[in-house]
Amino acid sequence: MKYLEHPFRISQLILKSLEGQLEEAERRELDDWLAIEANRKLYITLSQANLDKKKALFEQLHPERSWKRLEKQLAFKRQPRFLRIVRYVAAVLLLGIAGTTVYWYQNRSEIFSSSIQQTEIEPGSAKAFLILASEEKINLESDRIFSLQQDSSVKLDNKGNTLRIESGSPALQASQEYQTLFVPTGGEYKLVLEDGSQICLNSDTKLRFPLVFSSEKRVVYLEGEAYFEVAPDSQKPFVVVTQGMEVNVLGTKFNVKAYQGDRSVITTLVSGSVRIKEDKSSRTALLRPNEQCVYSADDGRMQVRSVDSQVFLGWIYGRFIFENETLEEILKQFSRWYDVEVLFQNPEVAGYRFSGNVDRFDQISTLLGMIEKTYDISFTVRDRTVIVSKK
Amino acid sequence: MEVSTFDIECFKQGEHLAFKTIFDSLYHSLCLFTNRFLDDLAASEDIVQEAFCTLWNHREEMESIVHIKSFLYTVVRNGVLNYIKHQKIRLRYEQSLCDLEDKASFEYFIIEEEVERILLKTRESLPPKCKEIFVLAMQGKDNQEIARILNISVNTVKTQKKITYKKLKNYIYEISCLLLLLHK
Repeated sequence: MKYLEHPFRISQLILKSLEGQLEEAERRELDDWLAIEANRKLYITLSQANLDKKKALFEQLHPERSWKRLEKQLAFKRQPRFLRIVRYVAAVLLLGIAGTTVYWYQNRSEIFSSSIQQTEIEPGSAKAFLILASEEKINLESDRIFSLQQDSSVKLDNKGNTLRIESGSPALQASQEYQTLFVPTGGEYKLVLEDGSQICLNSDTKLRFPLVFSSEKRVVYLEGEAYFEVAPDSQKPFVVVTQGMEVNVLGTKFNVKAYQGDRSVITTLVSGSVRIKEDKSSRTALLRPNEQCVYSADDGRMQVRSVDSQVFLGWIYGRFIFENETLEEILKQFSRWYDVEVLFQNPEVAGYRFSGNVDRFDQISTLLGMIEKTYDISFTVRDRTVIVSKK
Repeated sequence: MEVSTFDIECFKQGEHLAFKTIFDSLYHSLCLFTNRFLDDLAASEDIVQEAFCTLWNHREEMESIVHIKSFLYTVVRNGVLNYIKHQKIRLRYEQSLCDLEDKASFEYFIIEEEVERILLKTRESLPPKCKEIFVLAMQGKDNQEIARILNISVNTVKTQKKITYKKLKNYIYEISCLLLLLHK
């Protein structure tokens, strides 16, 4: 007998018999076990299990306290970010050295007749461009403070992967012109608006916003995914406009996912409340914390459901969190973050579902490897394309 | 949240969130299992916490959730034996010692914990009406009796029971998947 397999097998048979779903062979197996008097007694006890007593005992336990102590005992805190960066730098340096060595070796003896070039696929990182109303494009890779020509009373402070808008008063009318913050595939960035609202932008996302809001409303336009922490201002509603609908808020925390290629816009509320309004019919839906609205762009249907909002916010904490998610959606997210294309050789595997919680800064090969172990799927990575096939 | 094979892979790689998922799904059962021998919830929680610590240190060897469960139950059992050894008044634990050293009764306790864990989980996930029927059925009442007690038709009882079975089936399915993996 491998491990303690037996008791788990019997547990399964008992449950199936309570459910009335035993197959003939299983029935015989269970009957054999029941032939022993003591076993039968246990079976009878279980079929009339006193679950209330059990539940009461459950409630006397302190799993959170034990977990905290366990965490302390094992001292597994998240590796500080700079350490991770050091690790990446070290990896890149090593690759560099290895590359040079190979190059040198190759030149010397020409042992390697064909040069196979494997592109290393790196996770995404903080990067963004600011596209001005004049269509001028500013790369936000270096820290600096600047202002746009029209109005020097508004300062843009780009520091620590965050673009911060700071307006001195009085700002010019021209500052209400819309600018675009564009985060490419394989990027993420933060933006702090003039009113203090904070926004995290995910890969492949565009957000249009004014340097200074008008006096009645705070309106921004979103294409892609962003997490908002809106500064409260009951006088000036904050509106996020996406394809086909808009989200109206006063001051809350929520996530909106509205990619062009996706069939739906998903709004997840963390705290406060938001009202979602459809463009065509002006129908609305009100969300409470831990509720999610799925708006279908095809037929304009709005569906509200309860969710664990943290699952949908994994990305802002540097994680991929999936709960019973399709492979198609998972790979779509990977493709935006790792900047790769995905090709399904067998379309049916796109519907396979997975759950998991992994580090967004892991190599894509690690994540794909985990999925490969779970199902009969294999991934081939060629240049920047991931080919998915059945084993 | 239930433990998926994906979680186990993450766990083996040292992901502590996956470890938390495993901890959450097994902690209660293991504590009650331990409590059967010690009748002391606080001491039981300590032993279980230690067992999870041991599990973390052996995470790379784990092959499946069944493997993890077997490992934990075994470590907990040794923990209990150790605990009893260090008690001054051993008399109190005479019966526990017998049970722990006898393989059959050790297995009984595991079966009991496993079955009750899933039954309770099923019950807690049911809508109120279904739950009432489930509770009565667990008390050994047949459909007619249940219908009379709740003042509903026998057919309603039957349809509600179907919902329950579906839930239960999902949970049993988890175990059977794991067993299948093990037999591969």
